[in-house]
Amino acid sequence: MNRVLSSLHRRLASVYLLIVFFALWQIVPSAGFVNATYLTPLFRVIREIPIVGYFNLATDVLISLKRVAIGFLISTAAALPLGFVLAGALPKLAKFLNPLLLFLSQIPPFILFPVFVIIFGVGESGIVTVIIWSAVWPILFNTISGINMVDPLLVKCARSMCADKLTIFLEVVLPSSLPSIMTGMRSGLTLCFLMLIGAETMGANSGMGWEINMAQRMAVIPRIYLMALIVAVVGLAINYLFEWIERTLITWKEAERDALA
Amino acid sequence: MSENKISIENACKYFYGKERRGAASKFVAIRNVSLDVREGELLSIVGPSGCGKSTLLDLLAGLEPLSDGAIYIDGGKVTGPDLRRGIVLQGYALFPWRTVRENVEFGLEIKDAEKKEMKETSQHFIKLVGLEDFADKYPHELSGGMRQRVALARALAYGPEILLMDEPFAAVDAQTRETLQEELLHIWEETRKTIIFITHSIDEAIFLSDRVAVMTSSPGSIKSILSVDIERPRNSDRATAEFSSLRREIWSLLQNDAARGDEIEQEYCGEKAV
Repeated sequence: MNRVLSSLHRRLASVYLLIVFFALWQIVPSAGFVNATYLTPLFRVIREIPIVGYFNLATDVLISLKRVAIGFLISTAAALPLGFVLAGALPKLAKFLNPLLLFLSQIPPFILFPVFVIIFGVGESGIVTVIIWSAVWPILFNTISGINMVDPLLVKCARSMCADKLTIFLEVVLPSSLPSIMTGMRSGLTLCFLMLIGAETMGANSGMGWEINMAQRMAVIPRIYLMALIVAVVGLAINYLFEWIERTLITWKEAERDALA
Repeated sequence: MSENKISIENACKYFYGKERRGAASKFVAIRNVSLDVREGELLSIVGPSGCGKSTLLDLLAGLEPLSDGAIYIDGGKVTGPDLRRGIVLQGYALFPWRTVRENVEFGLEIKDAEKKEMKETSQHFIKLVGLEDFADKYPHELSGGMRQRVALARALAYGPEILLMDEPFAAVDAQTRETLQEELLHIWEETRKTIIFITHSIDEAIFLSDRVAVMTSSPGSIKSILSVDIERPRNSDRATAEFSSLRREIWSLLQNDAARGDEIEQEYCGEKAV
């Protein structure tokens, strides 16, 4: 019995705090410690779901996810090859461009949103551009640093076995820098999602961010909390999915860290 | 020349530093190294660290171009990397994302070997270095000595005639080191490869080699070549009179160099902007 309990405890240890958090969310406002108008109790928030409508919520989530997917794919497709070329073939150019790239990467995409709208028009393209702008930098920088950190000994070893440049890139450089690239992609994806919600509140007529904006305008406070909850759950889900992909792709990474410790 | 497997003639290697005050600084890593290695010979190169041993090995491997002189293998000039030479680098240099078998098969993949042949060959060499139970493990799951064996098997797998080894046993503990030395001799006797073995351990050089080349530093050049006429199989306690006198001889060659090395280095610093 004790053993069952302790194994249960170990399994739940990471979620205890969440359980407490949700319990407090319900108890604190409903017991009157805080004004329930401003902090809607959890169950009231959940009852908001049928009011918005399951279909509407699902549509919001799917539309937002579609935008994240498009933006993330485009920024990956742009940043990865650019990083490979800059770090692998043109290191001098990379050094030359670095200050400018760092400077640009510090500009929050929202500031540029009006500019994007002027250039790319109102609607989808403006939103997607914001996402691309946010995701491109971490992917690009991590790709470059990943390639710069490839162990020269491994490259030397491959060269000694007559590997040509393409083989060295595919068999040595790419797997060596994969952990760093994946880290960049993961932060890019997280940023994509965060920025998307923001961009949707600014200029969209669908999606989770738009729904939040509408709730704000109509002062439907429970709906704001509900959308925040959904955004957090979807964000976590995306993160878990990516972690899983990372784990299946990089089987050697964790152990390599062990060996260093 | 025909009986010499490897022939190094007046090999020189310079590295050029950044330009300073209008003139590029030139560093002489190796100056006028000449050395002949016979077919099937095991020759060690001993020297202080930074004497250009590893540079010499890079030249032999064809990984770096010579600044002057030439290296011939079977009478043919070395112009680039070649699968007739296998290399075991300092620090294993195993691919961490490949299993033992996949590491050993790397050179065979480049050679475009057939799947079946590849599997048989890798199996053979994994067995030769005694790792058949670890074929599907990743490098991080192995001890230092095991990783070194994988690196050796990888270099042997694509069938080189010459094995170039750069301080291969420097990173393992003393006990493992002696085991690996004996295993290397065993493999050498079985495969009859020509081996150039770089080390900074005098004992290791004597125990393994037919001849020992002693290198001096800055600029790296060969000071002396000694024959090791100790009968094989050699006594692993390394305490015989012949062994000791050779050890003393090499040691004093290196000592002289160490004393002179400081002078040379100071001189070099003074004339950095040649």
